[in-house]
Amino acid sequence: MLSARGQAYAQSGLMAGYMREKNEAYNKVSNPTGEISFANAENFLMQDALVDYVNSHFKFDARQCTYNEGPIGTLRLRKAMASHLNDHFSPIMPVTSEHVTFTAGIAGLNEMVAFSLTDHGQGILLGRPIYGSFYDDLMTKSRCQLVYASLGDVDQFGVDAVKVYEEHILQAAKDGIKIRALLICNPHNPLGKCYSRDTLKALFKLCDQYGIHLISDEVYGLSVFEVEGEERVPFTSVLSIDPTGLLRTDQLHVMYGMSKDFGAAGLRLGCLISQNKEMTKATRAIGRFHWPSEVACSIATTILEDKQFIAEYTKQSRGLLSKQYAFATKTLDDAGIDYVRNGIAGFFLWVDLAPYLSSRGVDDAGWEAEKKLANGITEAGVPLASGLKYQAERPGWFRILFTVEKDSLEEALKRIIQIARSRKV
Amino acid sequence: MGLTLDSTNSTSAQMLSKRGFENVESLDIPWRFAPGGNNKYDKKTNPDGVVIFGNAENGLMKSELDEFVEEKVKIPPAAFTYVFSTAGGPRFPIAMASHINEWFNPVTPVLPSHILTGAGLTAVHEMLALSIGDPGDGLLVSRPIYGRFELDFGNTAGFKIVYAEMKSTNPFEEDVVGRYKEAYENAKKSGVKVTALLIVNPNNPLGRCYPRETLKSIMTFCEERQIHMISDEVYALSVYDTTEKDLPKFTSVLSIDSKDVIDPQRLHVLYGMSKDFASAGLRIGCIITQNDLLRKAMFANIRFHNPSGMSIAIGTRILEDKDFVRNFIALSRKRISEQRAYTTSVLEKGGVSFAKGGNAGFFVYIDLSPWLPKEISAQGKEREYALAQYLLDRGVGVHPCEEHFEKAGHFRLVYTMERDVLEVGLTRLVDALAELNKTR
Repeated sequence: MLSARGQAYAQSGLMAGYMREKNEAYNKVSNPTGEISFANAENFLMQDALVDYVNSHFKFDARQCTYNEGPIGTLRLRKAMASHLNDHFSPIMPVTSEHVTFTAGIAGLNEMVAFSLTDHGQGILLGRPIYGSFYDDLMTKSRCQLVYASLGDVDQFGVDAVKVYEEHILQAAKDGIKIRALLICNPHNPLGKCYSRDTLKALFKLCDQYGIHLISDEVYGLSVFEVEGEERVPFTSVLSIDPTGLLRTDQLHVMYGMSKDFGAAGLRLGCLISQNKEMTKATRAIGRFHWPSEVACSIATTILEDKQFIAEYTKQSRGLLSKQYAFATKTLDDAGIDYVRNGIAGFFLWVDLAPYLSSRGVDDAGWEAEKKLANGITEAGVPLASGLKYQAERPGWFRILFTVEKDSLEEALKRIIQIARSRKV
Repeated sequence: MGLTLDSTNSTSAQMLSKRGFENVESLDIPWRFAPGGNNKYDKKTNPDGVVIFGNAENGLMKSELDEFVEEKVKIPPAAFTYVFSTAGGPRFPIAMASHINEWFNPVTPVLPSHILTGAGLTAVHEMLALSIGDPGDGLLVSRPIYGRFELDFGNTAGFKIVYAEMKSTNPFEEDVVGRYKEAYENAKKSGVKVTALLIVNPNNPLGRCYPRETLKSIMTFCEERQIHMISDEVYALSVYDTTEKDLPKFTSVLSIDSKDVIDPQRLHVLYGMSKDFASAGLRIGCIITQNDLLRKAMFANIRFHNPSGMSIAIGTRILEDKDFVRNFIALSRKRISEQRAYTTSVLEKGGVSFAKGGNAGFFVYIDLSPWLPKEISAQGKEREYALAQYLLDRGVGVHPCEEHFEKAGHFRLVYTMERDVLEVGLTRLVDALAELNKTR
């Protein structure tokens, strides 16, 4: 009774995650064996600050129950977002409301971007590891091909990575896949690092040479924090790089939203920033399927227009991210567990549990072993993402979320370390 | 320096995919969107703007919504997280199932697990289309019909809408099955496989409710042809008294015993908050179906269309407050009925006829064919575009050819805006038509 693609959706197992029994949340006092979820990258540390602000500043108005100005977000909201980006991303050319198109969440935006830039079977290039959900977001409906660039020992954030991307573009062409876009996550999920200015310039040149689009997912742009010690590569938006002589602005697009920098994932509000008029039109043409809640739009407008609040919120958030990052890394250091260093942004750590992959009865510390370890940690009450879904280049990587309450973070790390050690041969 | 691949894209349009480019082009189809949206009439700020008659929204219940949300709704912290609202979250489907069981008289009580909630019925249409048909498949509908289906089922899912010719058949009588049969066969001959039939019940734009026997006949037809039957019941409770007596009231397909009529696996109902609750801006739409596999398939795509936590918080609170719902619906019906009575009397005085038998929805289907320009060739669309442009120039926004009616010159007129705006719009319409009368 279903279509061919309907059958494929039904079998994809994408529903499984939602259907999993959700257990009671951990509480140090009342539920010490409860669950601490690392599954979704959310900033739980700033939830109260956001809720307090919204409840005291936001006024519901029945106009928010109307179709209002259509699916792309009101003019006022788009102006407010443009202003926000001009304040914080140092764009070479000021962002205007015309460049901004809102959608009901970035998952939907990913889908629309893939649909508008690729035809069936054409390719989008990403460096490994990728944000795990890109696979579903970009491919499920568009049926494009994702091509993953294996970087090996090459630093993904340095200029040497460009050669690797180029090799993959050429190889894909030989395999009959036309790469139409390069997608980078900047700051990076799950590595928490940022692309240097030089690297971004080199990527601009690469995209120009091969006539492909550069899409920069900058959804953690303000979620950068300070770390004691050596200098780390700061966040640089692609918008702040003068593209003259490097790349046509028609080939450059940024994705942003309210989910991370504002801890407001539940609003379901994301946006595309692009100077490419055709791209903006193409997105708006299918915007009806991703029409954001007018209530959410109104809340976002209230937030974005309150620059003082944003300054205070961001300051507080960064302070907490910094503290929790320090706590998590120290805990891991003390336990002798390795993780990707020099992170400066985001809510997570990419932790290496390869030394703890069991080699009993499964494929010798391979993907099956990673799955077993992931299940073990999940069963211990800490559901989390592991490298397989993130296209990691070898088994053993796990994404730790440090934006849960300190007690929860402490307990979760304790459990992970315990489970990991208990599986060591 | 390596192989250069198509690096000489000269225009930005070529930089999009073919399907992206097609979507861009579709924006330029004449009268693709209801006119006046970028120049909306406002008594104070834009008195020369356009009174938009082409957008089906109920603007008559604003203060009741304001009051309710102000007093009764507090957005909980959890609403800002992912899990609260994914596919409607844990509470909303329970409230919605209860609402449907109270008002739709289902033979088999609807369970929360039968309901999938997305960010608006438009999104639900797309997800449904993707899962029940392949590109090029056909969706069978009667005429006239809500015109956005061809975008909702077509833009990304690639469905072709098969607009069945009704000829002189009344689409609400059992004979309509004969028309559906012809359309089905004709589609087949031209290589289009119809995989689903869709009715809007109560009907948009005619505002009529399907009688029980007609529904049964259509269900039987769908079973015979082994196609899906989709009943869009989004105006279910927006049914009211009018000057015409003995019009059928709303009957949900869920209230018909499907045994020996249709396999419930192929019967799907669409419902949401946009119309009955005057809350289109919340973006909450649901599919109610017993087909587990279909729900599973649609669920795979729900990540792209999850409703907002804020909307779910408000929507849940509304549906859980059954006293509020009863009062709200009663008041809404009264106000819509009054606006309709006013509208029809103005139209009658102005010599404008409209489709009879309507007792639901927010609109009347008016016949402006006497005012179609005669000097333009008989090609229906050009005449209708010209008339719509004439009216638009006079601050009246109606959407030509939108409902794919077989007779030229009919327009859907929505009357559920504020009374003073309605008055301005209707006056302008009647005056504009009167001017045309003079020039004949």
